[in-house]
Amino acid sequence: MWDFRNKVAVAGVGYSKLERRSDRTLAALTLEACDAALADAGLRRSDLDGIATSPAMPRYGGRKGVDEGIDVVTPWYLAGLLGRASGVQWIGSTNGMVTQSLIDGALAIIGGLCDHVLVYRALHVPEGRYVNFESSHAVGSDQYLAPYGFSMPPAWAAVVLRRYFELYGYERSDFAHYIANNRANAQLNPNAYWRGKPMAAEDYPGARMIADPISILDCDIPVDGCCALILTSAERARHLRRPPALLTGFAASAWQGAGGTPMNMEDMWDGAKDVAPRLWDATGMSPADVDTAQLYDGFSVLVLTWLEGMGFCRDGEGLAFLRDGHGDLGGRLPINTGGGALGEGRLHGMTQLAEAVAQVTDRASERQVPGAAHSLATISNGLAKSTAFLFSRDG
Amino acid sequence: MPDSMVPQRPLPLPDPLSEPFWAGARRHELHMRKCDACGILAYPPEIACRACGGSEARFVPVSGRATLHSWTVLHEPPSPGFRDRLPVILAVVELEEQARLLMSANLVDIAPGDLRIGLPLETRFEDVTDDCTLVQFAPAER
Ligand SMILES: [Zn+2]
Repeated sequence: MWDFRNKVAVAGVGYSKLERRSDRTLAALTLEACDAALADAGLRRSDLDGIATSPAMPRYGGRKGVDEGIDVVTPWYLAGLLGRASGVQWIGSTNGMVTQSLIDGALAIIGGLCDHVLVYRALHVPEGRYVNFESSHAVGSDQYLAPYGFSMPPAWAAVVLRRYFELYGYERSDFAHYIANNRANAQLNPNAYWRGKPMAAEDYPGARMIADPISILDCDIPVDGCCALILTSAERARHLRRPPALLTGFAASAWQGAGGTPMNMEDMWDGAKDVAPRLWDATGMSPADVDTAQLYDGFSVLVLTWLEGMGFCRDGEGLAFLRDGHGDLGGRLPINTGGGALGEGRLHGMTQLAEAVAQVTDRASERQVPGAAHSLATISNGLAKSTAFLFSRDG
Repeated sequence: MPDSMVPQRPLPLPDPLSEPFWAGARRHELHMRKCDACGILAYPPEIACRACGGSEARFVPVSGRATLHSWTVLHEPPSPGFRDRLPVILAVVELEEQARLLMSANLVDIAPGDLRIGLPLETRFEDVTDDCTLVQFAPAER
């Protein structure tokens, strides 16, 4: 077991408004989320001495935005905006994903580098279509994909979901209950982009196809916005405004898998199945201890590979589990209780972290899983850069 | 619209690592990079072997025989050059030489309704320009 289990905690959570396209700058939205997280924890900007994120703007084809404050908000830029350019002791800027920033931040606290770390993800929706390969030539890894039209992530997810359907005898209608119920969870989440816009299971089969069988309802929506978390030691967190969400442990994937396609179902399982035993070893827990699971759902199919890869269901049985309602609030394992990224908007895993924190601190109001002691959060697709965390209730 | 105005699909821009692969395609041959140390085939070509870390490798011809691993059908163009090519069948194929040796390509000469996992396939080389040939797949003609 990890020596530092339950020694670091999330003490505050803050969101900016999440909008399809905001008329405010990303810098302004980031400050809104950071100040909200500080206020939630009962801290001030002057208490911050660590900042971490993965600031890259994801875009497939077209121009990758690099303008500070518009397309990205780097931690060194944010330190200045917060008036902490000289007060910050540690900055983490992680290649890969923001959830690795959470690991870095926890280790910085354990290592005594700083006391209060802000971990945030700021995302901007660029002009034009989000995925549209406009270049006349494809270089690097794109040269094996874009000439065939395989330049967009929904298509990468589609080949995984197609293979899953074909091998285990499912069809799209089997996903309808989960997708609609997930949207219902989002109705109970004040931060969710899709709050106020419920859908019925009957809306799912006819939804606009992006890459068959991945429809618009199987993809998270890109939003302008930011989510921020405050990390501190569990000891300090106990004296702050909110109950602490204890970080019991984490594990990260380095599984690259086969080349030739960015996502392959068997490799995503293998990656998750490599992460799972390390997470359970680090935490001293098992799937049976998890009261609610926040499983990354940038694409719907990822919920299946995580559900199976982490050991909650056997391979191929995850969709039946969801279809039969076992992932609903009140089900055997409530999943993505706040609506996940499909309901909340694209925040690259911050959604899963924030919801796990809410559940183990009794802050999930109408969507609270009663008495939830342990919540799992898994992020990305199981392949390299993916992460899994277990958060626990204090006391 | 004059030909020069018709948007093209993005074309591969070969680099030192990939040039032998694309040169093979221009000759209508499929070549894969094979690790000298452990014999594992890699696609796309890698500077170091993912299986053993070895950095010595050479391109070897492979059969081009494959099976359909999975697919998706696109009804909207993934980029402007696909506008006149819809629906696009995007396939992931597994080459017969090695488990999980996967390639992405388009499937030609088959209707979306006839696709199934395990379908035997073979290469079809598509000469796009004088300098560029894409490796596509079609149902194997036994
Ligand atoms: Zn090797």
